[in-house]
Amino acid sequence: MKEFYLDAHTAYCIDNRAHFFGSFCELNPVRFIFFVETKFVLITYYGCMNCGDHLEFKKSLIEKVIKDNKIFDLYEVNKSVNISKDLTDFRIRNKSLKKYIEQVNFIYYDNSNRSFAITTRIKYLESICNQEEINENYKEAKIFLEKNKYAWLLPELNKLYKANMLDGENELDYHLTIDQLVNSINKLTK
Amino acid sequence: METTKKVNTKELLKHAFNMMMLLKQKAISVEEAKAQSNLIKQSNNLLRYELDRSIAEQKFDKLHIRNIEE
Repeated sequence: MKEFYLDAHTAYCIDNRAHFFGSFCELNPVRFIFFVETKFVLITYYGCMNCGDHLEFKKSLIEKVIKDNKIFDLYEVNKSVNISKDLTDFRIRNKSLKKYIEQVNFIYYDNSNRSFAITTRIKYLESICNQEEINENYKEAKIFLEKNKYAWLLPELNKLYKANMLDGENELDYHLTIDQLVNSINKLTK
Repeated sequence: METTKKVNTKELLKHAFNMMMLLKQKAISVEEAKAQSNLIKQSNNLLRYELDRSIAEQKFDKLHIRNIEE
């Protein structure tokens, strides 16, 4: 897991440090986790940056890192992925396989506790291949958070991990689908 | 030639799909596709053997299967 520090204060904070902020913003940094490609990233910035609309600020930080993102209500993100079912449908019912799925990069809540997700489109097969790496990075991030006394961030990490997990993995389905593909390639080359 | 790709069924599946797409787009020749499909088939058989072997070893306690490398 990588941790990034944003070493910047607001102009207001710099001008009024002696009278108003003091060292408050440095003693109370804000931390949040987001997910990009296969990695979990921890961002830390000074508390004074959080004084305005902190959601907008977090969103703008993420949008700088992740291009072409979209924002959905969390329940509207299409995560109806079941690898085993998708591969069976492809093999037996000749259905085409999903091309893209939405990867959840960040989950946030508005003042009424309504959950939103910042997402990006990734290739379906790419996401299947990346699952093991995501699992490893999740375990590593969990250890990192516990070791550095950021255990209060664990629920956030778990939510992100669950949102990006693909269900129904079955090794046998992969083998059968590969066999099917080999047969199709052989038919095309005859 | 070295590769950084992992050797597992998921990568093999992705590779097989890519081959199929390339063949449909006529980006690779028929000979190349044949050679690739043979290699994919052999790799798949080896990985399938590993899977069957681990399932069998889990099911039966006193089962001794010869290692494939021996």
